[in-house]
Amino acid sequence: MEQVIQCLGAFLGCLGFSFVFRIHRRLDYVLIASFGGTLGWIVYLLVIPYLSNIMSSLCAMIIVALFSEIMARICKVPATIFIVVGCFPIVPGKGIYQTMLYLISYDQKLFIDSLFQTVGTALALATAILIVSTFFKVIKTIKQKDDHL
Amino acid sequence: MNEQLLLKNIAEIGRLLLKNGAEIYRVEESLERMCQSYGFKDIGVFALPTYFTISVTFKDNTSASYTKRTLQNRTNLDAVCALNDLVRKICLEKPNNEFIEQQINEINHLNPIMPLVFLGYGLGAGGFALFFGGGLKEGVIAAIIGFLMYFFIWINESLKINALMRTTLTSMFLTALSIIFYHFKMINNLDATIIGCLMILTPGIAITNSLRDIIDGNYVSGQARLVEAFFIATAIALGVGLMRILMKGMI
Repeated sequence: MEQVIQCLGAFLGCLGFSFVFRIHRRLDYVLIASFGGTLGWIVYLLVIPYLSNIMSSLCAMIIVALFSEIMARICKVPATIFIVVGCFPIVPGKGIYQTMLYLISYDQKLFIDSLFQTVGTALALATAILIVSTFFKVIKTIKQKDDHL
Repeated sequence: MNEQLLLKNIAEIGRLLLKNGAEIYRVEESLERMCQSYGFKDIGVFALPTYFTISVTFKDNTSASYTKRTLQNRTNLDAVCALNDLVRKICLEKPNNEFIEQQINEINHLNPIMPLVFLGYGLGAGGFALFFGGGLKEGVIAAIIGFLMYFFIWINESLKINALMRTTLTSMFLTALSIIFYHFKMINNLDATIIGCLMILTPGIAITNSLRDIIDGNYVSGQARLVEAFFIATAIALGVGLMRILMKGMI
């Protein structure tokens, strides 16, 4: 039940952020982007029993990025539109907050822990986008070579 | 066709792309492709997050260059979409100057629907408060704080307060409001409410865009955005921490 509420929250939140980042003219893009974010969180929930926090973020973001790139090719729009919104459930907002909390309560061990978690999650997001973008670039290059031949 | 004017229009498209928050590689690639499709030679494009320069040689062997600077960039994905379509069209159909000018004008008048942005702040904050373990009460209160943040950020922007200070102040503002609501027992989960509202400020775009820039070898731009992301995160933490220390008695 808790997971369902989380997914609902993620969907609503992403919906809000699509408006904040000014996707106003196309409701279908808003829905696709929000669905991408929710999908990412569902994947995160599926893999979290088996993997660490950071690895789960990596897996979730890979799915979000894949989904975004594929939808971008279908809709013929830049993939950023979907990635920017879809990454939000996985962005370490909670990490930033908790790190600060432990810092002001002088809890050094937890502070270092959550600092590493936060930076690690940010790096995981970045790595995931890197992997997927490179993958799609390679596909594009191969396709162009075919055209020349 | 007047090539000088054409280059001016192409540069304007580049400026708009940069201003509306496209990735650097997209700006560079779009400019290069448009120039190529009109048959310009010796195309040199270099873009940074707030600046780009483009120089080309025309068919009659005269050369020209443009430098544009944009401050106060702001993400407007609608405009990025429209510009991307325009670039695609220009590359395929090579339309004339009047057409491009008219399209640029249209995109310039593509004003965001402010009530939707306002709604987005509330929905975003409320949704993420739910997401981080808040109940219905926390969601509603976070949405109200999100709405108030919209006005707070708007005031900050009209006073031309710089981005880092604005983030710190906004983060202080939302923490203070959350603590006040918590003090009067209107919410039970303080953390969920604060994190939900914080999500609006988190540098998600800076993180994702910077890495996409670095992949394409734009190390300088990528670095600049990465530093931006780091500073924004620090500013958020600073605001929350400061307010929590100041209002310790009320928690």
